[in-house]
Amino acid sequence: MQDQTQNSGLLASITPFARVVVGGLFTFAAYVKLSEPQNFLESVMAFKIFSGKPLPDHLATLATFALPWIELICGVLMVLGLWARSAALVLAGLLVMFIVALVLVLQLPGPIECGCFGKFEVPCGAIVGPCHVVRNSVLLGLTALVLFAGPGKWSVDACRACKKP
Amino acid sequence: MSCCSVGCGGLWKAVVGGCAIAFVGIAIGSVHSWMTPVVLRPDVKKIEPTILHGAGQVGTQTPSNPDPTKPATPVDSGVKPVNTHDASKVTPPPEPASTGVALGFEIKSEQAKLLFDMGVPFIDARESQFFAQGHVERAMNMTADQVIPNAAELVRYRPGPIVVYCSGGDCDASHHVATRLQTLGFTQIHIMIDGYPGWKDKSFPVVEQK
Repeated sequence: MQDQTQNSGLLASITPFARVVVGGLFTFAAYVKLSEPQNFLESVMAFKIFSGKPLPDHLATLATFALPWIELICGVLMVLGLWARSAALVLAGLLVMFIVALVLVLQLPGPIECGCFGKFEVPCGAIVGPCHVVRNSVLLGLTALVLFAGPGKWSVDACRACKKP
Repeated sequence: MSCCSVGCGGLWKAVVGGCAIAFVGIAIGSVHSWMTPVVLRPDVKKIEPTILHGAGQVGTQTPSNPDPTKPATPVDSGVKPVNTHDASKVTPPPEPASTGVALGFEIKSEQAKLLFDMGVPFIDARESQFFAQGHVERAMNMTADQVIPNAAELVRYRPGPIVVYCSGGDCDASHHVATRLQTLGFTQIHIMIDGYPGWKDKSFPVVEQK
């Protein structure tokens, strides 16, 4: 089976849309988190999914900064359609991790803030609920589409494939 | 036409590329974390206990061997709890000579009530929808990210004590607000650890949504 960077038909129309939507959302989310790292750190600390305890301090601090940078890099790559499959694979991994964490947090007592989009938590609101799981699942579906169907047209990867002899 | 255009080679390239992206993100994030200070929790060693004197005066003292992490230990039992239901049963506390009740960083609602009766400001650290459903009377609603933007309103309560609460139990919101208050120079910060549920259970003054 050959690796193809272009598809025809419905997929070719949907994958650029999925790529830009997912990439744009993650780029925005990363910007919000990096502009207010203290707020995101507090959200990370609130996710007490390890036997009711938060992440160890050094891991919480690393996650506070590393996660948004990974989201930003992948988001930009997805929007541009450059190394889109690699970016989609990383984002799919992150989304699976977020969905698992959200499901575990839903079992905890008391309201817990998602911290996903800072003050711009739409349409699900700040407090973690089933809406967040559904939202991330939809994003995971769109990301998987890009991963398996390729970046589609209007992407740097497609342009590079066209230029190859 | 196959709907899946990624072959083994393509998937392997995606994995290698993904690892490279993750590595770069972690490296940049590590550098960023060294350059940008974040505070994980309030510095309890810098919290000063609030001393309640017999006539209801609130003071501060830096004892020779303070431990703000421990609950209040009565230095002298001159201050008696106030019964809010029946004022005729209130026993005026005697005037102790130079001792009082020392309230540490984490206090229970009964101790917070002593501060409430003295007009100490309360901050409700929960989200606005929970505050609207019910809150301590006179409490201000302020989540952690709202503390710094409202610094001008808060600093007028310095250098006196301030009480912060949220939902009790594992709720950390009050500690996050305390962290921000510390950056504003507050030193007498008290967390009401049983939160709004503990306060309400004891029938202390609340404002509830009708």
